[in-house]
Amino acid sequence: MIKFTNVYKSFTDDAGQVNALIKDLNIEFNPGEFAVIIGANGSGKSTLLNIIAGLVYPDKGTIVLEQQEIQQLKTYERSKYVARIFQNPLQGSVAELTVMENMRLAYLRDQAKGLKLGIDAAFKSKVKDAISTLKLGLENKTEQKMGTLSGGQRQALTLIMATLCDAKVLLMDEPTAALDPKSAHSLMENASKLIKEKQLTTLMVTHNMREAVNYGSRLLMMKEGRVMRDLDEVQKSTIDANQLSNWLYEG
Amino acid sequence: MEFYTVALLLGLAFVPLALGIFLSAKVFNIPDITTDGSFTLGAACFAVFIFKPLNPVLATLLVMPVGALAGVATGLIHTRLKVNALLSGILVMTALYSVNLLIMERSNIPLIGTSNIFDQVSNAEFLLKNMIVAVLIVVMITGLIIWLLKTDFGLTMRAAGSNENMIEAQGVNPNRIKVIGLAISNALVALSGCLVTQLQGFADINMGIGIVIAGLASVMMGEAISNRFKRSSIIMPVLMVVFAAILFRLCIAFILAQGIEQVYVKLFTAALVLVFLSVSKLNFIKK
Repeated sequence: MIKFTNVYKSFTDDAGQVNALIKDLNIEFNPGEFAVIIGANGSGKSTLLNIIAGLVYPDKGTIVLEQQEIQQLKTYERSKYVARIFQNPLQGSVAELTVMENMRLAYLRDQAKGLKLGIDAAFKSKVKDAISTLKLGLENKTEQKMGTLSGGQRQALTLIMATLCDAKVLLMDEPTAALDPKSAHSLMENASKLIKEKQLTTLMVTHNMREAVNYGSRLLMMKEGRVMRDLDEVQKSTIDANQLSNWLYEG
Repeated sequence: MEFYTVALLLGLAFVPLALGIFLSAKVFNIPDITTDGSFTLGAACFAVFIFKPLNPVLATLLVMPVGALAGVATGLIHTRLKVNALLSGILVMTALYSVNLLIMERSNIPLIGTSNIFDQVSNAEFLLKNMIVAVLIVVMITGLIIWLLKTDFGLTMRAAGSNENMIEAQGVNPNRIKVIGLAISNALVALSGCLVTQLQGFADINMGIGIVIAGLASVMMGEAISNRFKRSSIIMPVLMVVFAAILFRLCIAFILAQGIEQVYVKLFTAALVLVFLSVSKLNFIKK
């Protein structure tokens, strides 16, 4: 599905020192896999996601997504494969557009945006059906501007936007970091359900150990640009949040 | 009364300008100063086309792609050469001054003895037939812009102005949108210049100076009014910009009618824009 081969990424800081963000990464993610990534700040988790999304280009190495090398493609050239949920709920949608208009843009992620009035009755009912699966009552707010909704509501809608057209890969960078506990729980439940339903290959970065334990089918722990631990579903089921915290403290 | 009718006509001719500036300043959020040059460009091209002689309707239509080219130039300088948007516009505007002079070959072209787009409805009284054509053009342009902003492409344009990350994540090259947007915006501005030149009966090399502020004044006024309606649809903001463009010309006519000299018009315009800018920032007008 996605395969990293000898991927390196470093940056040179103001003092001229070269800092490695990702060091010789070799890893493969299988279709439908939900990988949770933990690690200290600066361990390379977000860089890993940014490399897949195309916000950052690797210095060396190849990333193959469905038989295609994607490491040099621009963000908008690979967006048909990659859907993304940002840490900041405001970043994933457009405040000035209505919910429905945001959904339309998301739906067209893998298509050209032409001179068509695309928001018709059929599209509206399709979107409302998708939103109603969240069970938050947001299907009645589709004509409101996105900016009038709360962070939790926006993040939940971003999840629907990410899954509205068939992406291959879903990237979530601390999706619940800005949410209250109840909204966070609801988002994770919905995400986990959608990921299973649509068989999305998912990478989620989180600092929440409980989320890391409760969700996903694989667990990666990163440190200094390398994957230190890689647990499959069975191994993952045997650990708890305390254990994970200890690993992070030990490094 | 005829004085105000003429002002109304002029207001209608300035509607495309206001819509063009609305697109760049409000929809995709680029302060575009190319306007001053492309307004005159529209006038200059029309003056040359009409003496070819071309049919005035055709000449008016042809002015738009030329204006679009000016927008593309600004867009490419901004997106490809990574020059600040404001500066890109100033560069193209400055260059256009020479280009316009080259097109016109002198600084002023009187359009005496030529027909214009407003003559095309026959057997009506002079002002009436002007009005019919002007209203027709404004309705068409406004309808077209509303339609455009509601299409999938229009949504992308509106999104590009407020969240570039998001549209990139939706598979859109934001630079492409900016260039196309600036092309559309400057095509409208050139159309406005061409209509104004036909109404006043001459093209002048200096007619575009400060026009961006006049357009901006209409946009700010329109925004202040449409904010009161709290509608999520794009239709209201567009209609209010159209309304404000006309209202703005009537205001100026009113000021001139009070015996205030023409020289103060630009001062008044700048002051008006300042008032609207600060009022919206200071939140006196409740959003």
